[in-house]
Amino acid sequence: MAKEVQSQFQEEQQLVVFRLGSEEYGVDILQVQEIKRMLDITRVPKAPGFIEGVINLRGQIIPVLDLRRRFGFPAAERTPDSRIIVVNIGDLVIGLIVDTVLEVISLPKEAISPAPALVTGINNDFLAGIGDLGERLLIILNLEKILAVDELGDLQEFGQQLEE
Amino acid sequence: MLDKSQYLQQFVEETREYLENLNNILLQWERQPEDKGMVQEVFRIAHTIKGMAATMELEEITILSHHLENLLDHVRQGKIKAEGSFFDLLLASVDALASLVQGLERGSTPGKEEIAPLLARLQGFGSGQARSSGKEGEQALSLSFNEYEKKVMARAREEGFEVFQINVWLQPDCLLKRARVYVILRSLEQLGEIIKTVPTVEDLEEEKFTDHFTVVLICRAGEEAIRKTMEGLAEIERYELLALAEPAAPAASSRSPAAEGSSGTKKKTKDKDRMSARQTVRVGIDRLDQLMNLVGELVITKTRLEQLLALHTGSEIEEALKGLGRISSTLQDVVMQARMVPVAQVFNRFPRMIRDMAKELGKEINLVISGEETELDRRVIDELADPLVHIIRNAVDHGLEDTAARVAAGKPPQGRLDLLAYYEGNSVVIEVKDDGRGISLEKLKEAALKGGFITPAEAETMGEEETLNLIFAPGFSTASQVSSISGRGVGLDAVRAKIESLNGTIDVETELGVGTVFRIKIPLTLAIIQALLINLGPEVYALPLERVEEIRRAEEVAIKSIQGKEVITIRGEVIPLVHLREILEVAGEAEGRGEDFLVIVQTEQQRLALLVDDLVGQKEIVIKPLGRLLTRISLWAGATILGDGKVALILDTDYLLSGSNVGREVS
Repeated sequence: MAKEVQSQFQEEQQLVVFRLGSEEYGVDILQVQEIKRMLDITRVPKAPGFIEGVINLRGQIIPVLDLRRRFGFPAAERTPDSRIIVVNIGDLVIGLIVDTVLEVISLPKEAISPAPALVTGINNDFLAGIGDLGERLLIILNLEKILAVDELGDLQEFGQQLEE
Repeated sequence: MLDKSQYLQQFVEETREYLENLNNILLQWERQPEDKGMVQEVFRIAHTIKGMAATMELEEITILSHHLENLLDHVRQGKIKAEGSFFDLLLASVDALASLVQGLERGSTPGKEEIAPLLARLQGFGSGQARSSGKEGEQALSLSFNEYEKKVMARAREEGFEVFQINVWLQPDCLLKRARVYVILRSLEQLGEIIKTVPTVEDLEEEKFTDHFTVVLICRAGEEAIRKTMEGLAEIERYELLALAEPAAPAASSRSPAAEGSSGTKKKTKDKDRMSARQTVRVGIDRLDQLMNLVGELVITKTRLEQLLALHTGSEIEEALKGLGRISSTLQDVVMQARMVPVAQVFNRFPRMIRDMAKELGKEINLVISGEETELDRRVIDELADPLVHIIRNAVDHGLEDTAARVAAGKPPQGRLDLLAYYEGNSVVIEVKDDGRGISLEKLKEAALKGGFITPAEAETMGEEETLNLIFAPGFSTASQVSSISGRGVGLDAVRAKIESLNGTIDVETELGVGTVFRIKIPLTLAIIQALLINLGPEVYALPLERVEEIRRAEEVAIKSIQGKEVITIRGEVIPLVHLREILEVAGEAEGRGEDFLVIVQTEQQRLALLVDDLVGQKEIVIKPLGRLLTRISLWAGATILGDGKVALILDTDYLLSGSNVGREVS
């Protein structure tokens, strides 16, 4: 019994599905900490352009990133459907602003194909793969790459300098 | 299995502490290898580790500490002499134990083969040296004091006397031992008061002893005087002089005994105070963080309550609010104190590091540590370790000369490195001071010119301090050769960045041929500050109040222009004007200009007049980190959560100047 459950887990990936513009995207549910309605966002002057600002998440200050801006899409009005997906990547907690969160799905591993040179409008590096949902296609994101900004590289360098 | 993992973290932490302690005791022992008390101490710790590891079924650690224990037992029995390579082996074993413990934390299980070479050395050492064992009957007489003697000693210490234990070995061919003892005791009595001898004075007078005895002396004369006296006496084969450190008092100070030993003075470490059951509880730093956050929230809520109730002025409400204020500020203090740990925690690692470096570089270095009981926030101490390592490495590698160069320069052959900590106002200062060759300003300028950090014109006009500050420039290096220890042209800028991220400052003083001092200043309390909240359009920002000098209505002050830059004049002083709205790119135009305020702030370099839309007021705010992604933006010292739950950023006024932000051109 336990074995069956385990193998089932291994063959499926659970994804949080959200929408940006007309496309649907997925992120690994294991990286998602929580999904919040829009909160007050405080602008951070001098921050990299795609950082929308910071929010107060139960007393913790969390940076928020506008995925539209990160992907170079035109900006959109916030609507009551707008959400902040709070994700954990490594030891980084960050909020991602999306147009709307649709559902959580389990996708068999074989329904996910490696990122093709497909016209998705976003940088291929950001893709972890494409999910086949029958009539729909799901763009599965590689969050590490999306957050791999220059600032992060600098920080690691800084740590190394100190070690030396 | 579940049981074990539950205790593993505790085991790791405790063993770490033991190992750190062991390291320090070994270093001290190496300096005074005759001290038999040290063997006991080291043996006891090895034994404790073995016991704990066995309980946890950690085979490698058990075996290694068991072998260590065996070796130490040989020393106890006088079969092996504690000298030279013996200490290298012991220190290597401690390193091996430390890395085994570290492995545990990472979840890796080391193979026995990894420690096999070391085990072989430990065993081999025992049998190899056993033949050259020391003389029989040389074991130090163990001393124990009765209550009365302890009291006498405690009183004496209070009054500024020191307590010494003097172990004396008479020459075996000494004829009139009784007379000799009499002379020795009389001579010592000239210096102070003898409170005890082993054997007793009666036994000594009746010659009821072989050829050695022990005297406990209370005096003010100091070690040197005793040595002088002892060396002036005949028929003494040898003697040992030990300063008896304070026994673990009930009101045990936080002073770490291990660190005390490392301060270069010859004190006997009696590390009893950690062993005796103290009334303490081990609490994870994350829990303290949580507590700290909650106290922060409490302060915020209190502030908010004050805002809400400002309209309802009633004496009862006011009184209750005041009470709440008192309680929350006391609570805040208590929580802060709970997080404070002595800097000894980071200082402790340096004696070993410096010993190893000195050996590698062939230098003689006397490390003098003081003020290690000075306390700082635990988080800060953790953060300080790396910068300090860096500075100390620099000092040992570049600052201190080797013995030949020192002698040639007419200096004592042994280099001196001071590591000291002390309180200064609301800050803690940590100094790393060497008596080495100092930093040549000329060479600094040369290197800066070569590296393109400054122009020849700048080099001409640069003052001393400015020149010295070049060493903190990113990528700057003067090291003519790269060694394995330091000098790769990276570092001091990173050190400064780190210190500044802790709200601290670092500066350096140097004198050619005399030495260099690095001085790090860190605020005692980091988490909560008084701030001035200001408005720019709809946005709220916080300015640390300690930087605010005065506030003026903008309409009262005339804005002039000097060399095309906007300035104001207050009491004759010309102060650059900063349009904060522009620097922070606040959307829209300020309306109703007459209402604007000028906030005069002191920055590291100069005064600035910040033009702001409005003042919100003075508040106690909790500083929260902006997180890794944003800490690189030096303009922000952090953020805080306001009474309404919104986030306000805290301006670091020192960085307003970076970039051409000041005094916009008057068009």
